[in-house]
Amino acid sequence: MIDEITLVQQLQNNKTRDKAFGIMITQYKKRLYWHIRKIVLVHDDADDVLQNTFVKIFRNIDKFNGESKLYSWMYRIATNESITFINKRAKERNVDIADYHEQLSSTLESDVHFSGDEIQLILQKAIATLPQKQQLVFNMKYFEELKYDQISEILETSVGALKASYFHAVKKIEKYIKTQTD
Amino acid sequence: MRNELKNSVAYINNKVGKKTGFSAPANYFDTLENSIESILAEEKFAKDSGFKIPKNYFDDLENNILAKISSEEKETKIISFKERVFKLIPIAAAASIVLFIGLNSFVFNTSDELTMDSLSNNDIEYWLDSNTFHSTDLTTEYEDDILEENDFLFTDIKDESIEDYINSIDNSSLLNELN
Repeated sequence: MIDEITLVQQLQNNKTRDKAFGIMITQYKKRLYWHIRKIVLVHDDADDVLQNTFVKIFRNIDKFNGESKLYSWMYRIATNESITFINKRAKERNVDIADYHEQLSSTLESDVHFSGDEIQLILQKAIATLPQKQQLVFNMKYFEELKYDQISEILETSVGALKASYFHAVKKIEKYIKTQTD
Repeated sequence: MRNELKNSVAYINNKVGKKTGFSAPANYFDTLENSIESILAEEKFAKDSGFKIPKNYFDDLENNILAKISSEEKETKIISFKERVFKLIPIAAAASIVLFIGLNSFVFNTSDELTMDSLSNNDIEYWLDSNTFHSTDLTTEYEDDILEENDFLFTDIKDESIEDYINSIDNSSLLNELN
């Protein structure tokens, strides 16, 4: 696995760019896919967003200034692309984002690419009831097990605000699961 | 607050675990590099198709289309509603006759009379297997209908009929035949 600094140098050099880009996709595709998938829920949408994300990364690699880590920068692009996608879809269907999330989670039962059991489905439905920021923080902290400072870099939000978001998200999800199962 | 959070996270973890339940299609990740690289490669292709258009083509396009539409409008034959209704009358009449006959054969033809067509092949085969019949049965059945030799004699045919027949046929072929 090539280290981030070398990869960035190769990506910003015209001669090595194409090859380095291939390496970068191989290195980050799964992590970015699952991050996007938790936001957009449907595989085909996640595929679209992932491809757009990598294309955007390629086009803007010269603007990457190294202030944050490459992976945080890519996560930020992936997150923004996912949210833009969700907003666009909600607008097309003429519903607000909260309703769109709930509609989407209710289709998971019939999704061929959702193989979760009943309780996993309940958790996804619980997440869908949260405000968007809380959803992002919960997914990144609970499933992806990122640290607060990493999430802070990606979402450009203070650690304190993230902790509060995570606390509210966890409490709401716990309550939702209890009402659905007990 | 910290302990409360820990307990809640532990509850969710015990109940659900860390798996989301999402899955990706088999081999999806194997072909991803190619898909993305082909998108980027497309951008490098020249956007100019090489096709050229006559000078001022787009400037005159609106006028040409509008002129075409207005000339078509002038040529359009106006058919009144009355004419249309009159045209439909024979079709409607024909359709109602067909419908009447069709309905008669379907709705009113409900008699239980037995015909050969109403019997299935299996029924006929079964009857033939279970009933033996002799040639005498056939002769008694057809006795009255058998043709006699006398039926073919010319005595029964009137002379006028024969003359009419001879007059009606082509004489030349008859003469050729005699020669």
